[in-house]
Amino acid sequence: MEENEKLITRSDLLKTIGQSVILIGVGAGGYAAWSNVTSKIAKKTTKRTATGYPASPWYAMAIDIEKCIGCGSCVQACSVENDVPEGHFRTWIERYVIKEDGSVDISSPDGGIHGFPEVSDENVTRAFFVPKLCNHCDDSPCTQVCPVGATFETSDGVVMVDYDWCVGCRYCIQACPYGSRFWNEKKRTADKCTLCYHRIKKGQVPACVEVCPTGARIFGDISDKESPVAKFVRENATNVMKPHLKTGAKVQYKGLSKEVV
Amino acid sequence: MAPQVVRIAIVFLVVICLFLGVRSQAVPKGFGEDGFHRIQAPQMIASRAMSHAGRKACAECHEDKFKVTPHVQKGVGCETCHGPALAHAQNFETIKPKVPSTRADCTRCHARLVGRPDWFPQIDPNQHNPGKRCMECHEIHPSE
Ligand code: HEC
Ligand code: HEC
Ligand code: HEC
Ligand code: HEC
Repeated sequence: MEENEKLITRSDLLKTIGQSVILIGVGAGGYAAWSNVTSKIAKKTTKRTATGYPASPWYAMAIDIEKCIGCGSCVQACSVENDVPEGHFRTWIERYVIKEDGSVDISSPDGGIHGFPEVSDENVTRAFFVPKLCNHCDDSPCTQVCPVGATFETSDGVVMVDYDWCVGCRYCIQACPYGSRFWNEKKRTADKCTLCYHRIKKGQVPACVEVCPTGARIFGDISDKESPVAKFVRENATNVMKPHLKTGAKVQYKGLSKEVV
Repeated sequence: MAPQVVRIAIVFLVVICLFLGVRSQAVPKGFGEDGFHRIQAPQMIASRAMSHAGRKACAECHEDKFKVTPHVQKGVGCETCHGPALAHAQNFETIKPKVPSTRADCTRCHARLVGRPDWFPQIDPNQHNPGKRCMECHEIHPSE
């Protein structure tokens, strides 16, 4: 019969079903393995503590620009505490001098580690110091570009470099919009501020905070309402640098002028 | 089933196995257990040694230096002037922190400077008793 030739036999049908099951099995197995890989590493919590932070503790720093006297104590202390190679800085100070004609002089000789030179105060409208450091962004470009997961945000909100895993591609140094990273030729890895993770985990404050003579740097667990940093941010008008980038920067500045870049 | 489908299935299977095999070798221990990084990395960084002791550590032996002075009162830490002193606190007989003695040790904070806020007490080092050590007149640590 002509009709019959188009019909498949029972054994053919069973064979096709069997093969399809195997194919689907392979596909599902592959997918399961893949999602097993990605589900763990793409973990980004949307949970919030009672005070609105992803976890507790959630470390943060605030900087009171009106209190900074540009003495360089923080830069010195940081360099010693963290064995920072000469010429590089995990934290540094910039001086902004705004002139009557509207021009702005920005300088940071040696990161301000030896303070700042005397300059003429002629035609100066306004001048101030701005201490800078890694902003420990919650949604950081640097952690996103790292190809090997050697830079990341810890579960308590600190962005750091895994020195034993960094392959030294330096992509993160390019990605940081704040210029907070540098190439450490001693370690041969990217390097940056860790908020003195080795100190804060022992109940100390970061070295720069410890030595700041005027309390221009305020540190603490911002998820704790009673911490100095939570209090400071609550009681003062503060802002982060380059908020339009939406990097989730954690360093809050009081008295941030529009000239500060 | 068509033979080319079977062949493709085999190729896919081999590629997936190869990927999982390479991955199991290339991914380090602890990776991915707490996000896209090695879980042990924060612990390794946290275990580094400190060099600043913090002012509380000094009080144990130098109680007398905490008398109310402008510096102590305004919260200037001991190590701001004396430098990192944890090594000294742990081994005070052999390691001594630096003791500021020059005018430059004081003027790095107190010299009048463009950018320094007005509320901060500043002097012009060329006018304010030039040539004399600051400590001749200013008692940093009152003796009694
Ligand atoms: C375990 C006790 C102990 C601790 C803790 C300690 N010191 Fe001392 N320190 C001493 C002794 C003892 C001396 C020597 C006695 C002296 O000269 O008065 C000394 C001397 C000094 C001197 C003078 C050095 C010199 O050359 O004359 C300074 C400055 C000093 N300590 C600073 C500090 C600071 C800052 C800290 C806190 C980080 C600290 N010490 C913590 C015991 C201690
Ligand atoms: C503003 C800077 C400054 C700060 C802050 C400071 N010191 Fe001093 N310290 C000095 C100077 C300057 C001397 C030397 C005094 C002199 O020559 O008269 C000195 C001397 C000392 C000495 C040796 C004194 C002696 O009898 O020979 C000790 C010990 C000491 N400081 C401990 C401390 C401790 C502990 C603190 C923290 C509470 C502290 N210092 C904070 C500037 C400072
Ligand atoms: C790291 C910065 C720093 C250094 C170094 C420093 N001081 Fe001070 N000094 C301060 C601060 C902060 C105050 C408190 C200012 C305030 O809030 O009124 C202060 C206050 C003073 C005052 C009181 C001024 C007033 O009108 O109330 C004198 C005097 C003084 N310092 C002298 C010295 C001398 C002398 C030295 C050198 C040993 C010195 N300081 C080193 C930061 C420093
Ligand atoms: C010959 C003694 C003498 C010497 C040396 C001396 N001072 Fe003074 N200083 C004084 C007297 C007195 C005052 C208070 C009267 C005044 O404001 O001029 C004073 C005031 C100050 C003030 C407070 C200024 C203000 O506006 O409130 C500072 C800060 C200060 N001195 C720092 C220093 C520093 C830093 C040195 C070393 C570079 C130094 N002094 C050296 C005698 C001295």
